[in-house]
Amino acid sequence: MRVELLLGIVCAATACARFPPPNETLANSMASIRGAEEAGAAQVPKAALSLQLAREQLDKAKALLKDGENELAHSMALRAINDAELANALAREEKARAEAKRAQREVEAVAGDSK
Amino acid sequence: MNTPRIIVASIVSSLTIACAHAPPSELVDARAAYERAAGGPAATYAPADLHVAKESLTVAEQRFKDDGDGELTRDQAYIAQRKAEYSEVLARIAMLTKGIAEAAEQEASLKERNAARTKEELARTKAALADSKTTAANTAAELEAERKRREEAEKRAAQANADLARIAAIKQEERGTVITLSGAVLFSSNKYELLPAAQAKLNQVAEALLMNDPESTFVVEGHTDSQGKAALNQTLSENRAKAVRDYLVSHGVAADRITAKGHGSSRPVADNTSAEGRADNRRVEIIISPKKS
Repeated sequence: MRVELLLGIVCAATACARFPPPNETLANSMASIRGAEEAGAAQVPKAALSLQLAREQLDKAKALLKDGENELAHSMALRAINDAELANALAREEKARAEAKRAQREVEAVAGDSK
Repeated sequence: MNTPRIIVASIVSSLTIACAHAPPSELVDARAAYERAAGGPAATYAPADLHVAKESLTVAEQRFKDDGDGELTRDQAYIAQRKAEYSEVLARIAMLTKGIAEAAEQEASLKERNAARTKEELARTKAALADSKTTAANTAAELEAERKRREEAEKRAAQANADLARIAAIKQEERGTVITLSGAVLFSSNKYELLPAAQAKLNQVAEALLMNDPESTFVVEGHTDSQGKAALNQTLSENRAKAVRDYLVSHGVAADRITAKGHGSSRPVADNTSAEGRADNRRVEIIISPKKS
């Protein structure tokens, strides 16, 4: 029992030592969140949800980093990045949809002129 | 007693094993998300992103196989699910973008067609305008020609009347233009057959009548002097008027424009006591009534 515990501690310690602090991943997730915000994700309901998830995961990653859980922090930051990018894409989709509708209306207006 | 225990133990252990091998919900979701994406438009419109999602899922599966249901496995599966969803969104964006481009193309071609049609309409309008100008010019020309025709017709009528004036008296009265032909020139005494010499004169009269306004009508009136019985004079005047009318009709004057009437001796123009006066009273008058219905 003691040996196992010791082994666990050692393992954890070596793991901590092996995995560097994921500062860059966290920075990337912050940048991705900013990108999604700039794309207007907060104004599109579906995108806003993903953006919210990304922010929460970034907070979790920061907390994990603080606790020295570097690998988990890295993994959580990656989740944040992927949610932020999804939020960004959803916001762009909404814009494209609006643009498509506008284009269609214009075609109909021009087609109406030719009647 | 021993056997049931073994069974229970084996069930418990198999359950444990099953639990150990059951994938986390994140992985189940990630697999479903990838399947859905791979079966949708992402395969066509976002193949690179779909591929990234597949690799991400493969990593999650490998991690589940190697490390089991751990935090990192769950994170990786979660990420794989998001990547699958991301590929779907990108595919939809690509389709929308394509639709926008097609709409723009359609709009441009419609505008081009509209412009061509407007141009065509303009050309047609111009042609129509030119046409109407030509028509107007033609109308003006026709009016001018008509005016000339009338002028000439009036000139001819005036000439005919002038010619007629040499053989007959022409007067303008309230009832119209009155042409008076002497009875002596037309008929023998007490007869109503036209004399050969009368025919030349009546030819001229017919000609003059035909020169008149086509809407005007003519009345041929026969008159006698007061000698002899009034009833005979009446009949004679009627027959004479009729003879003149029939001759004029046979020379082109429309039958429905000309009527004959006898007045006997009832309307003298001169004194019946003198031979001269009686000669004046023996006459045929042709009255031209303009535009009488």
